[in-house]
Amino acid sequence: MFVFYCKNSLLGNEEFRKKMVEKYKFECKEVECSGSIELIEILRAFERDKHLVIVGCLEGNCRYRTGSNWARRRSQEAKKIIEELSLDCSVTFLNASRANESKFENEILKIAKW
Amino acid sequence: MTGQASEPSYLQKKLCENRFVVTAELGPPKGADPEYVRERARILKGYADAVNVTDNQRAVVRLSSLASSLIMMQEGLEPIMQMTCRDRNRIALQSDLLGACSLGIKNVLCLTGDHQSMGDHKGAKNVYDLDSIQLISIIKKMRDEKKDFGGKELTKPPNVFIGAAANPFADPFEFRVIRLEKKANAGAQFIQTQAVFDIPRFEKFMELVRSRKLDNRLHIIAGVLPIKGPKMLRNMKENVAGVSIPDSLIQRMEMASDKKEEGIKIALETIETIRKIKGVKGIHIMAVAWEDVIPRIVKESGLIDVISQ
Amino acid sequence: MIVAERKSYEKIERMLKGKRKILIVGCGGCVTVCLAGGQKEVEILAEMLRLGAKKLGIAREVTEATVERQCEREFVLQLADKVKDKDAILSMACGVGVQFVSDIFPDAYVVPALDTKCAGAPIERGIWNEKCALCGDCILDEFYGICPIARCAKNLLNGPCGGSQNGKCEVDRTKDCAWQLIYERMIKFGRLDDLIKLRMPKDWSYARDGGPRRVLKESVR
Repeated sequence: MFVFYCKNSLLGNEEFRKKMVEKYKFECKEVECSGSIELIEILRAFERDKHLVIVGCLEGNCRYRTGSNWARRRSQEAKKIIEELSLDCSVTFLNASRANESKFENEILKIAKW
Repeated sequence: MTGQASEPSYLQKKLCENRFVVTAELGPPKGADPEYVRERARILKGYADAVNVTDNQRAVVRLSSLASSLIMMQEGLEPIMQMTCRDRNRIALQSDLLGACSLGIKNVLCLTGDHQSMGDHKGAKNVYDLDSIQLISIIKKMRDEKKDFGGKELTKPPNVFIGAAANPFADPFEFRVIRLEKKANAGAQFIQTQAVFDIPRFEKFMELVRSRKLDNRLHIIAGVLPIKGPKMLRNMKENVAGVSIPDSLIQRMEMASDKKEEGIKIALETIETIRKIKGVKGIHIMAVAWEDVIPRIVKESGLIDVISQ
Repeated sequence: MIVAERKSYEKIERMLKGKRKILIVGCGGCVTVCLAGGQKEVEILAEMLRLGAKKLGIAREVTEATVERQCEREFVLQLADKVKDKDAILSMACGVGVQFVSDIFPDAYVVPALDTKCAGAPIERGIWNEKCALCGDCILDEFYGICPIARCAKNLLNGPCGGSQNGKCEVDRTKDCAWQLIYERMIKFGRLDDLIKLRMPKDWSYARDGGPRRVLKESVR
């Protein structure tokens, strides 16, 4: 599992992130805004990891206004490609504002199990 | 039916003598099956002055209207051969027109034609080299100027009574009458309208027609379509382009205990009302796959009295 | 502009069957604007082909290139070195570009990654509508800026057919009836009388019907 996370999202919090990484053993990369992640980056990441997670802010709460909307769209485009190529991969977009730690953990746990 | 090639068709004769006419419609089969056409022609004989033969209607491949018209004539019934612009270019249309007239077919109805996406050959190439108005003007030129569209002399001009369709129920409403005038200018002589369900709208249409004096230039035959049930009405309202069906009519059919009887009743009421409208010179009964009902409708509406065979 | 769309991945795989070294070439012209075959799209398709090869367990080498326009000799010639050792050239240009590359490198196996759809323009982001049918004899002056050849499904010249309803076309109710639009323009310009004019059939010999067209400009030959 590889995680792209927006620094304004819940994983931007160093303490929480360290806890999650230790528990679920994933590698991650911080970005300024989830919307800045291009489709090509997602596809290239599939060369190394099967399951990708993009963590962005709640739509409407994005610091850059529409960033998380774009991130969601790109993850949907990536899903279409996974289907077209019948790849054994997944990409999940998670809204994670700082308030919802337990909900977030549940989602990560689900993916970690795949 | 008139025999001589140079004589006008029976339909033309009657209309020009100001006699009310009744026309019907026959849809050819999907097969090289002349018997199908003969059977239906026998049902309709004596109940219509002339009968339309459709041309691959709804873009579905069927026995050609030209061949069906010939078979119909052999049964002693006068055809109105429909020609659409969807499948044939100007060369084929002029050629088929000469072909039809050489066989004694004297009435032609010029239509644009449903788009092929509606039918069972959706991948077919689009032709629409001409539209219905251009087709009318070319046929008129062939008949009256004895020339084809390219300007070449014809050895023998076609003897043909030119018809077109009118749809008072499509949009834009005001334009429909202008389009009718265009058809008259191009050379149309008789008109058959789309099925009338919305009588007030039809009356408004005829008012506009009369105000432009088109009722003097065109013989307008109003269309009536007997319905079998509310599903048919609802289907038409949703899927068929250019129909106007009042909801009250659908409700009436839904509440009826005997749907077919109610459908016939509605058809008879429609005929009774619209035949009295000034400018209406005849009734065109379109009984889709229900030709058997036409004799009854013609008899019960009293239209049988205007037919003399 | 020319509007095109990427073919399905499945179709592209079929075209590249048995080809190991592939060069994908993008075009900086129309297909970049309609987000079908520009540099970004080349990168994505290249990556898809790599991932696909891995999945199929086949050896595949994908090289990427994008030129300013694939319909200009000097730009296409820049690809000469890249083309040399390849088993297939997957062009992401419109049909014109694909053929141009094939003409300039006649020994190369050039295939199209896109379906060229129409000459059109965006009406909003992500939607391109056909506007011009390339009929070779423009009559837009007669129709107040709306082309009935391109935008009417039956290319009618004398007004709408009976299938026009609520301003929409019978073939596709999400599309405007071109004649409704022309009608509205005529009203705006106070020229409703133009509708009564009988327009004669079009001379299709100027269109593709007359054969593949050639345009000459003597002054520069």
